[in-house]
Amino acid sequence: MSAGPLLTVDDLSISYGSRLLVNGVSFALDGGESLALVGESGSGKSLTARAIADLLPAGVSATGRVLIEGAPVRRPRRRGRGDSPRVGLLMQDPFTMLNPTMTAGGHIAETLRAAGRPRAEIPAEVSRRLAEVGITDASVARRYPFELSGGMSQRVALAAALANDPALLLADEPTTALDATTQHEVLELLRQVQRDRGMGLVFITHDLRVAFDLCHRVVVMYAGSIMEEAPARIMRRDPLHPYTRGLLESIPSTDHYQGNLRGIPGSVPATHTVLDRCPFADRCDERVDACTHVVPPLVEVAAHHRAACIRIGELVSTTTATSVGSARVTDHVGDEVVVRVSDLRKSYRVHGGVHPALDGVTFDLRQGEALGIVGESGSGKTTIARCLLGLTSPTDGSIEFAGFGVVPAQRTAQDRRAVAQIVQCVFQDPYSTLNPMHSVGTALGEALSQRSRPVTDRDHEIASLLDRVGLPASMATRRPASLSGGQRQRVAIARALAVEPRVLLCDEPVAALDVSVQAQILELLREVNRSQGTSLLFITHDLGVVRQITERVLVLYRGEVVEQGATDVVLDAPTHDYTQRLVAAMPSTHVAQEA
Amino acid sequence: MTFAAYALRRVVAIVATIALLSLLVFALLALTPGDPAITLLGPQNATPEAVAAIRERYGLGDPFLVQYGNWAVAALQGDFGDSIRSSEPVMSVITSRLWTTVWLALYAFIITVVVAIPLGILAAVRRGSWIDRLASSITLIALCTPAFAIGFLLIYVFSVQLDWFPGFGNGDGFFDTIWHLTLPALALATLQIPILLRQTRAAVMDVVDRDYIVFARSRGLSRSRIWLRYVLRNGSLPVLTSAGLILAFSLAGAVLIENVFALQGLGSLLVSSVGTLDLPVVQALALLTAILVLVTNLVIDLLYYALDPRLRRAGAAA
Amino acid sequence: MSADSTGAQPSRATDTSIDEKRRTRWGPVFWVAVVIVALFIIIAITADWIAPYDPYAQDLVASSQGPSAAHWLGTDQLGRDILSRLMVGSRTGIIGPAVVAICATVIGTLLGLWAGFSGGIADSVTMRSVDFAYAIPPLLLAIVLVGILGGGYWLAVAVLIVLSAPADVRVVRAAVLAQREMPYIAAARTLGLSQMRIAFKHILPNVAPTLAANALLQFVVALIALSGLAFLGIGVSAGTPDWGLMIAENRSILDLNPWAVIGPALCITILAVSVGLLGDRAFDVTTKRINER
Repeated sequence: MSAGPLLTVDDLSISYGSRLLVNGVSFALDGGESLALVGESGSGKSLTARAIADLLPAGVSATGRVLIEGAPVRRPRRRGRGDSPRVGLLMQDPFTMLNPTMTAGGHIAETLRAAGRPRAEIPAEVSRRLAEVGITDASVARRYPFELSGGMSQRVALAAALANDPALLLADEPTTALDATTQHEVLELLRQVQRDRGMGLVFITHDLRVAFDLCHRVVVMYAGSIMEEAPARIMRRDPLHPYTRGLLESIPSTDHYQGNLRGIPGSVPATHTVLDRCPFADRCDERVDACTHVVPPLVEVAAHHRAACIRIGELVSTTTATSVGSARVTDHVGDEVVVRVSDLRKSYRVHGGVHPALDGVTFDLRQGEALGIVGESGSGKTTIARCLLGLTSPTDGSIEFAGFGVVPAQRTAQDRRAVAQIVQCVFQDPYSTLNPMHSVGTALGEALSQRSRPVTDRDHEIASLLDRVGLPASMATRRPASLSGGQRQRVAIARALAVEPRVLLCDEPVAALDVSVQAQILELLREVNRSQGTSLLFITHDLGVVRQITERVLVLYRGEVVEQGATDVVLDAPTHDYTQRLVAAMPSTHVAQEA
Repeated sequence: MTFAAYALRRVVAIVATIALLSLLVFALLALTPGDPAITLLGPQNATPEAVAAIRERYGLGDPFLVQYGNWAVAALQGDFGDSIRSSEPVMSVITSRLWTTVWLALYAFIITVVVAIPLGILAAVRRGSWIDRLASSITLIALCTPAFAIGFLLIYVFSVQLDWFPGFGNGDGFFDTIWHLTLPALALATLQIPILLRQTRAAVMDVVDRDYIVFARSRGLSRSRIWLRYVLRNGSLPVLTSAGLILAFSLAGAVLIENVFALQGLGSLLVSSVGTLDLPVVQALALLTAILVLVTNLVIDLLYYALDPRLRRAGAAA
Repeated sequence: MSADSTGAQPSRATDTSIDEKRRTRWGPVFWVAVVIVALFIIIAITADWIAPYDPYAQDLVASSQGPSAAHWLGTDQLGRDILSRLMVGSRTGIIGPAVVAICATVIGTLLGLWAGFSGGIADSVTMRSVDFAYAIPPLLLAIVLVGILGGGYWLAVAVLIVLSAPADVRVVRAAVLAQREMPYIAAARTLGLSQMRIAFKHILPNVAPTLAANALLQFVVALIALSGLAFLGIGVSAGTPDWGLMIAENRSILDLNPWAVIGPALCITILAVSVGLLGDRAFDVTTKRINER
């Protein structure tokens, strides 16, 4: 190992045109060490990684210094330079990272060639490299990316990124697009490769839990600046910065039920709007006047522990309140069955064959109950939602709604109207859940027109709906494009509630939101469930969300319910093999637990 | 499904389309105002005996579908009847004019490809630069200018004013033909360049922003490798389609260009045949054009199949 | 990477931000195009009063003259004033293409919505006929059909409507299919809204910028096609003051009075380029603005 640090980032600022995106970031990394860059969207974490690799997108420029082993990084601009880069990059989406017209082995081979390996060695080397990432099936090398699963693609990409033996690997959310169990495997692989090679690793993630589990040190970024930096062990136990604390509290616990889900109010500001102040000040409970006109310096508060908060000395003793478990409230659950699904089946034709998406699913949903449906992509959980909503027709089986009866497979216009008054839905993607051409008021007014109870004062109703979801009435004139993700999801909830449905179907409603916003929305949904007795059918892949929202859970695997029961029982003592793997793959949120 | 099965299915679909099209082309005769016999003879030749003879020959008293059947069987053997104007067989009229148009189309196509593809790539790479803006302005202007306007502009500048190239006529022999076809080919290329340039620019821009390009750069691959194996390989499919269709559609462009430059090709043949209601020639030309377009489409589809592993494997698996 | 290795970047960055602005503002070029199109429309309306000569008045003594004080753009073979004929010619240059653009867009939109929404057989039949229309280049088909049916301006307009609509059907259908997958459409269906309401209140407004741009493009294509037909002697009847026909009639005096040919060619090109520019910018700006509000 050389004398100096492997990576030095010194006062790195990144801007797009005149707009600053990353504001003077500095940190260092030793060889063999792993560092997590944690932040929400807009924190600048990915751009920082791109700047380190000298791969900023066109139009984005950087100032400051990035040194690898004391020398600036440069990408080879010409053919045959021989000096391969010392920094490798692994990106988020395994399906877009690989060249669609090149085989898996081709990616590794071309990287080996670029690194100057003699041609004769390459075939053997390719299989050796694939073995390193846990692929022993020789046929994988000949397959094209579209023939590989997400996890397999990510392994191939890792092998390709490692093929020129970089001293430093930058991994930008490499597991975010993967299913929980696969995610777990890839993280383990990454940890092992990093350790075996003694390689430096910068791991970019939005998930503090993953950062704590995987890395030696953690840097928390917010709106283009570093908020806190500490060894993972220390930050897990003793986070100092109010933002880090807020972020930790925002993560729904997988281990225990929390009586109150505390998110961070508001949303992430743009870097260039908070240059003369603490970027977190507006959302901070500990804010004092000085916070809004002083830039807090990043200072060493303990050994290896830096934080950027002017009140850091006063805050040290505060404890996190929500880590304590609470008793579940269940008195809003009634006996009436509002949705009865019996032996629901749905199959699709693919390439001449028949692929069953749902293979006989049966369940009841009672008045006021919150029922979770957990599964990975391809489990059929979204197909259940689409069948219930009438967006697709089931192949077989029946759906029955209280006060309507069994729904015919092909719904008429009247059926649709009647069912609409029973079940409404909140969809996953906040950015496309609202029609971009309609104002918030138009969207809610349209939904009100579908309500069975007559609407007397439309504007008043719209204002009270907005109030119900925690938005000001003035929001009615805005268009979706001017709203944040969390605000859009609130509007989507208001739209669903406008009809006064008996069941609110939620299809991954927080999966696309920032962690600090997720908790706000979850708390809102919990409140809707309890105060109005609206039943929730909650579809998600996130066991933490299931723990907090639902009383009962179904575990769906390849179109079948493999396990069901009270949420706490299923998560604490899973019996089916798949549920056990799912629970084991979850990163722990338990603050006291040591890595 | 194997490649052969896929190809076979596409060929069958195209044959069916051609059959239907030929029915419509044949129906042109019925669309023509007036007595079909007189139309086929031309008014000046329509003596009662001749009318009777033509009725006999074309079976004009028969039901429509029987007439069509007879016509189609003959057409399959390359017999579209005789030209009304020249009384020669339609196919020999067409072959005598064919080569002018073929040379014109190829000449223009080469100019188009040589200009449009590099410029399109350059515009995509230097997005927002003066080159890109200039290219897109010129593209817009060229796209909105009629062929004959460009033709006369070229004649006025290069023939009337500068006297560099001849403004009309076919020329004799290879070099003289090239010499004569330069201005027409330039005019035709001006119509085609904007289409291919836009397509190339869009295709390259779509690819250069992809994650796999960033990932390739991060692995230290050389520029030339990234360009050849990543950008051009993945961006080539839409460009290929566009280029193929441009070639297939050049007859449409040739109609006006040949008229402006007084070239004796298929385009001017079509116009004069339409003008004199020389229906057998019009039918043959319409059908041949449609076949050309459809076959080009087929070739492009099959090339896609060969170039895109996704289609190839999907075909092999099912 | 060090400070100097990124030193080359800022100039590109500023370019991009200028590019951004260019995309959200209409810009001077757009307004120039608006003024040009407006001028053509005004001339078309007032040609009878402002044209210096009767466009049909022949003056064989003054035939094939170059530009002069009396005839700014000279005269044609029959001594007719070129400038007056260009002014009156803007009528056939604007009305026909506008009718084609509007009718083709309306027909194409309705058929496209219908095909995209009903799917199944309605969709296949519509799309097969559209594919069919693409098998023969539209200009060739127009020449053959208009020529054989006996020619004439309005016949040409009618044929062009039929030949232009398929392009709109494709655009609208593709948009409907893309929109149908959007969560906000799923949300509208979940609310139990009628198909009609979803089609016209949810999908159509999102497709509208594309359609507007497309209609302007159809105008350009129709203008070029109609003047092409006139040039070939298939469109308007002989002697009519029409830009395309004027080029054909005056081609033999290109050396005597080039303006007799260049004038109408320039009119067609300037009008087409202006309208094309409106379409291009309208599309860029409206889509960009929707995404920003």
